[in-house]
Amino acid sequence: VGVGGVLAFSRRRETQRALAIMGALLGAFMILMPVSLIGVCPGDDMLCNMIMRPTLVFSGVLVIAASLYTLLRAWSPEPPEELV
Amino acid sequence: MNVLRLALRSIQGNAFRSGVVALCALLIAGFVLSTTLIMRGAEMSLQLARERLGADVVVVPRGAEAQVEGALLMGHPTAIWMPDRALEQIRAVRGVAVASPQLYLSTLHNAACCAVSDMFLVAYDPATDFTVQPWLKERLGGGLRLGEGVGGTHVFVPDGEQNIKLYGYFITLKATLEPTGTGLDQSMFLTYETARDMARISQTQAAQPLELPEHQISAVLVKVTPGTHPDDVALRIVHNIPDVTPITSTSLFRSYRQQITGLQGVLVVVLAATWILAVLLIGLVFSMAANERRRELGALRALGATRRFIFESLLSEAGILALIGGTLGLGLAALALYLFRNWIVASLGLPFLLPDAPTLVALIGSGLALALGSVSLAAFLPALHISRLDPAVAMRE
Repeated sequence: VGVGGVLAFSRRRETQRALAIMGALLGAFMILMPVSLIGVCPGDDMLCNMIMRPTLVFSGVLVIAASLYTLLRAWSPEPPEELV
Repeated sequence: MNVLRLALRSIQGNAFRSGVVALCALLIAGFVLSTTLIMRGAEMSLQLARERLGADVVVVPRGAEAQVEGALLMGHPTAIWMPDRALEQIRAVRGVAVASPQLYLSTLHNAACCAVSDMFLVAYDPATDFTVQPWLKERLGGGLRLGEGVGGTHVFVPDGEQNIKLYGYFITLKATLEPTGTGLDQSMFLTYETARDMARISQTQAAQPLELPEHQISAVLVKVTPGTHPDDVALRIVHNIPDVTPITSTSLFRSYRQQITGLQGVLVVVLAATWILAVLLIGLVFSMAANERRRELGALRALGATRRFIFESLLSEAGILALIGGTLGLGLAALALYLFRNWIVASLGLPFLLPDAPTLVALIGSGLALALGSVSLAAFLPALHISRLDPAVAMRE
């Protein structure tokens, strides 16, 4: 959320690129946390397995997709500054 | 400038308008895929559960039909009993080829062995069984010995252990059955001999012993002789044997099938309403866009662009947006269904199994085609209207 907020106000392409990469990495961590780094409870019918794990994985995928889209948009060179 | 480039420029030129159209396509495709998958997944689960049981008729104690269906389909452990003399009476009924008894037991709550909190135990008679035994012979080359069991896909040996401990008794998991999306996935099949041994050991080893009533069985699976209709055998059982209810394979899980049909009706209505609203919204957005671009399109016509070119560029724009939105919607719906499948099963109270890859690909293709067709249909009239407009009129107004 923090990265997204800063991204919304940043105008420089370089900053956008850096933030997008950071967002993608955070998204990957969001997926890895419940899947392999920490894991969740063992029971398939427990709430942490039915709701928390899929929500984190789903959100992680969305964050990665949004970050990649931002990265793609920010890849083109910076437009020249307007002459006053 | 070709048609596609003009369409792409137009999409980039108005991100909000394009976003609304793509969002509508996303909703249509995603909603269609998720509802179809849930319905097909539930039907497939019922079918697989019926095939796994392999019986033409299941005989249960009178009044226990719902309990047995709930146990087999949703894995709700149940303890139902009828005297084992019913077995001999069923075998004597004309048209019965094989009758095999089963004993339904349950584990303690939150058993460590399983991915689910309650495990359903089914004890069978290896001498007469035609449900598990043929599968075991095919896969393992023989039946189960004392202390051995086969489990559904949710049954596993806990980390660091070699056996599953139930009621203080160690069971070796010999094989895992393929998933069905039903209660059978959280069931363990073992022989009568193992069940009796478990009950004996549990008297001294378990906090709560396993009670196994003498001369009692839970259900009898019946296979009828070739040429005999299961309904006829069921009718004879009703007439000849008191206090039991025969359920033919076609009537098995009837209440769940009715539930699926009811849900299907509601979903079709919601789906139709969503589709109509989405098509109207896309049509409105395209009409506004076409009006907004009158001068631009008029100028293009004045520069030599044909009516066909204008019409095709608008429809291409709609097609590209439908493809982008549809693909996103289908991807998100498939991912969400896969991740939240256990929650969906628990919320709807229906079994659910994701279809195989070819079916999934066909469903995704249909969803994409529907999104493409819907957006093109909505954009058709505004595109036709603006392309037929005289360039001079279009530029002046």
